[in-house]
Amino acid sequence: MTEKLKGQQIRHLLRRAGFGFTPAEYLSYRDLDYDEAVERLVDFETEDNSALDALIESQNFDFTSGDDIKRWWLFRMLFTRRPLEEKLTLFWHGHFATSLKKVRNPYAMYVQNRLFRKLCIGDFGNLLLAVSKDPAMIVWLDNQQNRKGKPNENFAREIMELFTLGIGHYSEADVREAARAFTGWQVKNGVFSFNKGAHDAGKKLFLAESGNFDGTQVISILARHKQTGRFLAAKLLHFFLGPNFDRALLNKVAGAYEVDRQIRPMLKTIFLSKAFLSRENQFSLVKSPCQYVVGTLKHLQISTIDGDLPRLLSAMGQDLFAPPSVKGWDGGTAWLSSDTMMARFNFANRIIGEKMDALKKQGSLKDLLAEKGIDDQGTCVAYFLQLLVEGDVPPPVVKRLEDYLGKEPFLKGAESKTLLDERLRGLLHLIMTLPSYQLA
Amino acid sequence: MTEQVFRKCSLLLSLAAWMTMPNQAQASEPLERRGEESDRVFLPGNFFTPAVASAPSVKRKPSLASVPSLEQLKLIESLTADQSKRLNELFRDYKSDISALQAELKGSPDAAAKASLQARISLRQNTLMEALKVIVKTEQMDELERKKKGMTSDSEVENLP
Repeated sequence: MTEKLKGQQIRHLLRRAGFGFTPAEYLSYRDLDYDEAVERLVDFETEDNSALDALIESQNFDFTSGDDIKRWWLFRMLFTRRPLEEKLTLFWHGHFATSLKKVRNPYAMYVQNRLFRKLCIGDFGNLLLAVSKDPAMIVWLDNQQNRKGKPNENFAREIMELFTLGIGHYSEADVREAARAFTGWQVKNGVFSFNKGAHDAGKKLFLAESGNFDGTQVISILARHKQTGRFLAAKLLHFFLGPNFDRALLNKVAGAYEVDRQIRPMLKTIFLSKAFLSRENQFSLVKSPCQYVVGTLKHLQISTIDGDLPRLLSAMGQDLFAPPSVKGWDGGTAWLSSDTMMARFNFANRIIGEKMDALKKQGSLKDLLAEKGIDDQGTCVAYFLQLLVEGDVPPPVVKRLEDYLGKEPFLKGAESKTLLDERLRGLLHLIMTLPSYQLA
Repeated sequence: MTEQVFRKCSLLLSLAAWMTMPNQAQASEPLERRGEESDRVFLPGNFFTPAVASAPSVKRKPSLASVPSLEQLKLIESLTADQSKRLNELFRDYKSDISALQAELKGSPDAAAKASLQARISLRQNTLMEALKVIVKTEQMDELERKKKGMTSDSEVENLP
């Protein structure tokens, strides 16, 4: 494999397993073999993240504020040394979708988010058990009202439909029996509490097994069910690779789960697959708003998060801690609508403005460009296309971008300073509104 | 307006067309060839690299004094029904007073009047804080402070049998 191809693959990996990369981050990965890069990203516990903890401490986030927990998470996505940990936390947030709008307790949502992060890559059974006892989840899916003799089936239904098996792999009778098993799983004083008086300890018949099951035993049956492995494999493949994968790869990823319910080997199987690295798969997934925003901040090397960033993300269709339904975000092309695209373009305009203002303070644009060997329209367009979309645009678009920069001699004469500034801002904005920039 | 709608539609159509032809550029030009230039552009020292790196931070508007909101106070787990009721009443009056003062402040003509109103707002915040101390116990306020700081008592991971 050539060094250039390996570099492309590592950048692809950093986009998919994380949120893109700063130059410093890329530098720290580029000399690794691809397999080593995968190991480093997936076995992230070995990365020292104490600097992030110290940074967070210095920001005085208020974890009882809905806006601040959103800012805190974006801050983590941007500055963590463990990008896959945050990407997986986002994956589980969508999988076990829980919304602040109903829970109405930012602190409980923060606690749930910590839980996702802590258990994101290990034993799925342990994660499922912890989520089932999580106060925000209990409130979200009404298990507080699930009592012996008056079962509430919401949680029991979703744990099968959305968290483990998927529709078509359980019956209504299974839902009713599972609901009985989860009776008495409640929240008291902000923490999980088992209310023995509200629990139905009777015999249940669940997925062809019978016994005096409680919630933990139902979770155990679900976690070791073969279909759970397939369901999770398909969701992980969709999220990290995209919708185009074949049955053989699905079986392989599901097979990795069957060994001991671990998420880590499933991810390694995905990242090391030919399908993941294929040419067709690169720049084929629509960026989520988080990916778009955090990736842009990384690309432009901006280290200050605007306080209203959560609001902008919401306008792009991804309100963190408030997914649209129990199904989470659909992702893919569902991210794209006239309104959400305009929100992306407005964000790009604003962030370019901030960056260019900052750059102008450190020297003339003309000199900055000249330092990079940019001395005409062609080199200018090529440089920024390579930097922002790895050159992934058809030749006619390149030509139109070059035309946009104008016919007059580029970088010539002091009188063109303002024009150069305007054109450069315009060029960057145009590139960031290109279809390829919406893809990862 | 029509022009705006037209622009939005055009954007969507062009993106949709692009999406139906995935990797058009890649198909016509192998990645290996597109990557012929060195990867220097992705490394430190590229056009966007700041001359002096600034420390990561979040820009936020300074919050109004240190008055907790009613919603925050309701996060105190040990709050009794009676305390909750008294807090509702306290905040109903407080919000009404503060809204009136802020409306006055907004329409205030000169700096001196503004300063006077700011002082009255501060005074009203102080009286709220004093009243809160009567209703909410110190240990309950400490509990809220711990939550605000994100302190948790993370339990041990429970292993599924």
